[in-house]
Amino acid sequence: MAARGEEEKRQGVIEMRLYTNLARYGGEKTGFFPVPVSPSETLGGLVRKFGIPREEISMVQVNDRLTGDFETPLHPGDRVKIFGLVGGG
Amino acid sequence: MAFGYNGKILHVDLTRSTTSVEEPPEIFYRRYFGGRAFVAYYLLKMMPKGADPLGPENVLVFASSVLGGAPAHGLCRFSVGAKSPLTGGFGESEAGGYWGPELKFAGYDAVVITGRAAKPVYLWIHDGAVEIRDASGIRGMTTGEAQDAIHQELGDSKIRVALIGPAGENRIPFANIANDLSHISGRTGMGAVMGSKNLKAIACRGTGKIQMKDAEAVSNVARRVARDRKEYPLSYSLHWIGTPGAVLHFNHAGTLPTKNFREGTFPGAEKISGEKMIETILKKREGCYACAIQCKRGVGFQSERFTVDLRYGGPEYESLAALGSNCGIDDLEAIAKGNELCNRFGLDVISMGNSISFAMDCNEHGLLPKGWAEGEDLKFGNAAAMLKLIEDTVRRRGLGKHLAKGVRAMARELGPGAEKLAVHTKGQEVPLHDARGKAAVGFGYAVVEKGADHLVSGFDVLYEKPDHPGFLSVAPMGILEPLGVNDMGPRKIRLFMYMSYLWSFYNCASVCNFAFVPRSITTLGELVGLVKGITGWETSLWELVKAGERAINMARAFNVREGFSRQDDTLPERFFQPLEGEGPLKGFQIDRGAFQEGLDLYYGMMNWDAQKASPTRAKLIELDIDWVWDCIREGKSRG
Repeated sequence: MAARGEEEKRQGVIEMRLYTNLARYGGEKTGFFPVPVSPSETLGGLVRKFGIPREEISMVQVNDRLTGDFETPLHPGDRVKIFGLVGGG
Repeated sequence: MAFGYNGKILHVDLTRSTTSVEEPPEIFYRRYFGGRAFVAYYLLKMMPKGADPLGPENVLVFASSVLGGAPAHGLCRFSVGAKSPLTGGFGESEAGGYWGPELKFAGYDAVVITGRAAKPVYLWIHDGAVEIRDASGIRGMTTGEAQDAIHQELGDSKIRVALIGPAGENRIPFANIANDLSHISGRTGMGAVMGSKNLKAIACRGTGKIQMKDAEAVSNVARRVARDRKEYPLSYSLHWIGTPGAVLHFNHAGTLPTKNFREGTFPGAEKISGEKMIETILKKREGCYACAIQCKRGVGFQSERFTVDLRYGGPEYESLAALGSNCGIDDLEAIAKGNELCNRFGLDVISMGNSISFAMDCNEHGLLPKGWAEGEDLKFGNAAAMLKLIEDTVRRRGLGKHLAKGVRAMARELGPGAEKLAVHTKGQEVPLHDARGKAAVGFGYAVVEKGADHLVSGFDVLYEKPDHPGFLSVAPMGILEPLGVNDMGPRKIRLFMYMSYLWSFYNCASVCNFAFVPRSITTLGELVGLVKGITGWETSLWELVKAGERAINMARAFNVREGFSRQDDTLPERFFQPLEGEGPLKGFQIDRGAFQEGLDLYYGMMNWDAQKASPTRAKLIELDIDWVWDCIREGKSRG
């Protein structure tokens, strides 16, 4: 029990949002949803965790800033938006 | 034996109240396929040069194709074409649904309508038989009322009806034609042409089947797509969120048209997004004949403020941006109501929305003369005004009297200040895609014969990244290197030209771009396989894209005959000015020099005369349509 409590303390939660074709990797949610992350979590790790193929991603924003670096570290409270592919209306 | 097509074109002379059937040879079908090529063919052959678009000499064509109605996804579309009352040039609009296939089942590949009926009529086409019936009783009805009345009169609710609402009857130059109320031939004012002919509707019902050379091959492709559509990212997304998914994407990219294309990001985007629609007003996902993808939205609700009828479909991306962000409006329910009103009255929602946003912009700039907007609170963000103006436009009352002319005509009356804010090409209001951020789309706005259209070559984002499935899918077209979205250089012009051949073929052959690459799932190899399987022709991608190129040249020849030249291939002034607001593309503008160089290159690559922007005789001979040269050279009405 003690070990598990320590583990939870080390973990934090980020907010994640998946758009268009990526929605199916997160249960087709339409807004932000919480994702527990370990202290060493990176954007690339998060993407892998959800099984999202890189070629299906068009843009990523962490805290409303555009990034193309999948090594970006994630911190508790971060808001991550991952955009999929759009071909036009 | 012919496979795929009926071999019958129905001709209707409404002045004489007569019908006849033309049975063209196989070579006609193989050279033109159908759709927009049939439109161009009959306009060049039958319409006298300089005809009044709303006069009896105009020729109105409804055309399916050799593939239309075959039992596979994405082969349901048909073209409606005529000389456009909005642009004065080649008019054309494509729609999906069930009407095109039903026309085929009823025994015809296309209907060519000339003249003008003495009183309101509708056509009833059933298993080869044709009746011109009295429509006096349904005159003035909305699309829904008229469809119900026709179903009742003919005693069959499964009859597919293409029809106009009061807007078409009132000859609003951007009136549309609806089939099954929610599938819309929206652009270039074909509803007004129909209205000018006193033709309220064309009802179809048939028990015929499409004869195919190799039904198994066709069914194999349909099954493969039905199986994989939820795995393939682009077709999955079209189903789950549909085109409204573009709202937030474009907003983040800085290309969501806002306040009459002034800005590229909209603070209220979240409230009018596809996600918000799923959470609130979306009732069902629906689609077209034989299609598993089901990309269309069904929206219906009753709230304290509005009742929106599910029968009229739901707002696509174009509606959300036209009546929403571009008018500064963040009220999703009001936009859905506006979309429903446009479909009910028979107005093109793109042109209607842009006419309103243009008027709002002019009002903010103090450019509207006293009397135009008297009693109106005409400011960006006013949803009530937007809804009222849709009704006023149909009735031509108050400011609606002016909106009903369209953006170009209003701007000409208002003068140079307003012309700088008028976002149209060749007189057609621009779809909700900013050319600053989509170079090929913008280039297409300038050159496309029908006036601003976003479905000419595919969106730049499809070709931007080396691992994008859209980009990878068009390698068979010779597109081998990705290009940036704002690149308007020589390689982008080449990409545009090649992809416009493919899109043009799609519009000749009933093919839906939401079912086929690069925007969706069905591959070019499968496309060729479908054509072979349906027609039995030993064909190739080469033959298909050349057919697309042929149709572009025929549409171009029509415009040249009507007096269009290079100066008509241009962009609205707004796109040459820096994008305002705070988005990521703030300050970006189209470079005039690069655009003119692009035009020179395009005409050169097309083998067109660079000043007249007109096909050369050599090009027409190469495309096996040398008869079109006579139309261009002599301005003859018969080729």
